[in-house]
Amino acid sequence: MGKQYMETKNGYGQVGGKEEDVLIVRNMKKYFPTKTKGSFVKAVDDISFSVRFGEVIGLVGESGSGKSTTAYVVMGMHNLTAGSVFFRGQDISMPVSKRSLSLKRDLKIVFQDPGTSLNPQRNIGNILSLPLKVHKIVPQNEVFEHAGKLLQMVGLTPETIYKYPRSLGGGERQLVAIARALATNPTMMVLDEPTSSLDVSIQAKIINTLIDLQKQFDMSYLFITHDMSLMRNIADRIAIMYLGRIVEMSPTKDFFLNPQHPYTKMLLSSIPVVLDAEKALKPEKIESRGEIPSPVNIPAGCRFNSRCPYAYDLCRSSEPIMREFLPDHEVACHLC
Amino acid sequence: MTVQKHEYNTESVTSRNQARISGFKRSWYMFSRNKISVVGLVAVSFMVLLALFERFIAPYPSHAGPYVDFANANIAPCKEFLFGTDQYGRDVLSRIIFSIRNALTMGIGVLCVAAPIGTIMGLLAGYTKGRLISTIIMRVVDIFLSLPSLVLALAVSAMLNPTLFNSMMAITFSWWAWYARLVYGTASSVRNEYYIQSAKLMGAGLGHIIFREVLPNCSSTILTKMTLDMGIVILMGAALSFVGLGEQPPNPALGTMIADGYKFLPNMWWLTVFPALAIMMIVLAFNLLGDGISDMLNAGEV
Amino acid sequence: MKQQQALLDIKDLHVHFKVYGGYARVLNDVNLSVFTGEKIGLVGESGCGKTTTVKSIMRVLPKQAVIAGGEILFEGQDVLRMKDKALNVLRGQKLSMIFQDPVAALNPVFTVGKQICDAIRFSGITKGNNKSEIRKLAVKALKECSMPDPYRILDNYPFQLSGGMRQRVCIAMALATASSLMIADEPTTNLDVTIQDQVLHLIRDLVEKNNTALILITHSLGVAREMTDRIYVMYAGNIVEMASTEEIFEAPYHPYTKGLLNSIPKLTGDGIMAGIDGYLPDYLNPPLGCRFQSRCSYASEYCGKGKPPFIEVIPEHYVACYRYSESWQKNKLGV
Repeated sequence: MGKQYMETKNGYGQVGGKEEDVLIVRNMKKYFPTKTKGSFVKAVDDISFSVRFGEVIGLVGESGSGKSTTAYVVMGMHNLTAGSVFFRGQDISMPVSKRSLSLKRDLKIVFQDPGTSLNPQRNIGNILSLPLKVHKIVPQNEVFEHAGKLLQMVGLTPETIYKYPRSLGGGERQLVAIARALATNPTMMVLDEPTSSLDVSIQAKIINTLIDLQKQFDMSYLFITHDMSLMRNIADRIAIMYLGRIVEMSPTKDFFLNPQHPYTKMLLSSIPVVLDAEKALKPEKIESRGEIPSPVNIPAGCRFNSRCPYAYDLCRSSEPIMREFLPDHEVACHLC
Repeated sequence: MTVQKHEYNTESVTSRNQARISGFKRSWYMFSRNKISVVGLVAVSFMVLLALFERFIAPYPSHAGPYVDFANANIAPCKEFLFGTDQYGRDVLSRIIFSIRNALTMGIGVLCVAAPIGTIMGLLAGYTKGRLISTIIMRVVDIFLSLPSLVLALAVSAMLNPTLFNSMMAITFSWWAWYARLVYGTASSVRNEYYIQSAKLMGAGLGHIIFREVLPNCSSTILTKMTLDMGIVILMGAALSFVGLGEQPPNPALGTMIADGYKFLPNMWWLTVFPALAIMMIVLAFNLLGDGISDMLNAGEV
Repeated sequence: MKQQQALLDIKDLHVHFKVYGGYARVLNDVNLSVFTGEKIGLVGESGCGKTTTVKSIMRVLPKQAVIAGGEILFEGQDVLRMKDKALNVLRGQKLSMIFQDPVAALNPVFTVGKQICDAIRFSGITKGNNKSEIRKLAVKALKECSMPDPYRILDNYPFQLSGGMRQRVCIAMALATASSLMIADEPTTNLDVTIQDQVLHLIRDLVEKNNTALILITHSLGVAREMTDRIYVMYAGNIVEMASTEEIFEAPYHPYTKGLLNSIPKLTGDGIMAGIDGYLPDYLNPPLGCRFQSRCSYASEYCGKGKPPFIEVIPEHYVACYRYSESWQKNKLGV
């Protein structure tokens, strides 16, 4: 599956992406109008990044940072305000209703809460058979059998098809949601906080399943989360979002050894940890202060200046741009 | 309660039949938790039985039609005529049993037409909320809702022949709009749920999304409203027949019986009191059943 | 354990829920004590009975719940057998509670000020109904929660505040009534890490300053580690391990505690964790003996024989597991 991108090489030439990129997001903006005329909720404000084939990218941010909006725009659930999104060389900057069936098969999403992403009135067999029928993955009479196979792939018993979501635990529901996304053999999956509503002991199982599947089918993941510790263990690269912008992006290891942006440092130093070895890894304590400003009134200059302990005049007047600080390690901060 | 969130399986289900049986048991548990709803269910079943087997249950089946026996006129409730007889000598109990059938036919007839039409309109409007088609449907609904249904029914019955069928038509004409409004509310909130988004992202068609994904989630409110509405429609039917616009004599109707009997109050009280009690019982039974159904279907908690 | 009388002492508490199919035996012999000024953590995953325990203390269990045994002693008085009037005094003046969801805990149609003032008035800590005095107390409480501009906040409605601010208001409300025990039920679960950090600091500073005892209920061992002196680990309605916070993290004994610690993704990046296989047992038909046995890699035939004893493995460190009682087992069974 991973080799198919060769055909789409030319498409990438036009947007200046690299061959290994499966998803390219360019200067994407998403503004939601508010009740007052002329003012907008700037949920996503000019972000660019790319996801490579077979890569897990962690998009980390607090609530209100625009990380879920980014996922929804990529999936076509929201129209974008400006910018463009390319998937395997193809421009997909359009709402889901205009997207082709093959694109819907290739790009999948798993939502945060399996309690609301599975229809409570339909049993698991019916839920799983929908993608199989729509995309004609298997002949009509083998649909339920195949649904059972999908369930086995995520570690559930095939008999689960007779159950309803309400009689499954949260973890099992999320596995069903993953099996449903997997049904069409996608190239890329967007995972919108798939484990944040689950317990840690269950989370471990889900994450292991996800990572095994990713290796087995050579998929790319755009993993949206607020959990830095989790990303440390599974992501190849991490992007930190703050108030609609990416403020730092780098390979995972670099990121934790050498965090640059003050916001990243504040995040890392706020994480409650359980080991002394982890405590030692945290950057020197940056006291967390203030709250994320409203995305309607974004502060002038650097977005983080109201909470940043190092802010100086320049930070309050001009907005820093993303610069490559080390190879593959980009930061948007005047101080770096 | 918190109990429902646990990571355990309450049932070990391995086949479709088993799933059905366990689902049924669970529903019955939810329903029967409130004993009053069981009373409602029993009462409704009793009335349905009466309506189905009226000929065998009623002591004097022939009294339901054009029957006159002045020798036995105006007899107070006694052993032979449990609810007494009217001014033509007809057994009140038999006539009540026969009129229950008319009442139920009326209710079922109205709702079986009004509910599906309203549901489809509501689903369409709710799912397409914000678009032109939704606005058009809902404005039409508003117009129908602003027509007083009883007055409309009176007008239609007075214009056409006053028969059971015509009064049913008249009520149906304005009744569907209530369902459209109800389903619109549920559907427009359900459409934002992630499972609908998922289906859309998977490429499912409009028909599938509306009827297979949205409709099952509206069914509990629809069914509950239908049960509760049965009582109200029957009440309206009684009101129509009270003013002489429903079922025509000599066919029995509860409203007509009261209308005929109230002139003889208080001496011949049985002519009014028993039909009135029958109406009350029907409406009450359906309301109780409706509560039980709502408990059963909205069973979010254990 | 310590000799002094505990502020709160839960003894052999059993709570069952009437559900479809019978009784869910949720709390099964819970023992817990809190001393004056002590900060304890009650750690466990969702569905383990943490919230049920707290609701039993506050006597706000839903109507399906049945208290099947045990007692809850607060300053020596049994809460479960208290009259309504005494209970109101207890809730108003002795106990205060911070809920997980500050949105649900505050009434959206009243101003924050009215709600704090009402809490103060109902608690009966002020004599009579002196409005300006009550308002002063409210402002003082908000100030202590390091709220900027408390007078303006008093006139705000809950929706005008952010999540972190709302939780601060809830803390102020709990604080204004000057109680001797504060129960915080997952106070930061809905907040972002940076805000969580601020709120946790605030709670810790305040309880230390007022010498208030704290029961912190949380699913996050990391949070418990930062906040508490002593930790109770709960699994499926049982307390499975109790020790000082350092002990729990340095040398956990119970297989569940170990598994839980192991499941947490670490910043050190040692790869993906194993997790604990399986699911919580069915509370309707809980297994005989240890409730963790089906998920436990050390389970043996002992584990199904009866509820494991709560053994003091090393001083002040208790574990409910047969593994640490082999000698005890041999003696008892005469093997």
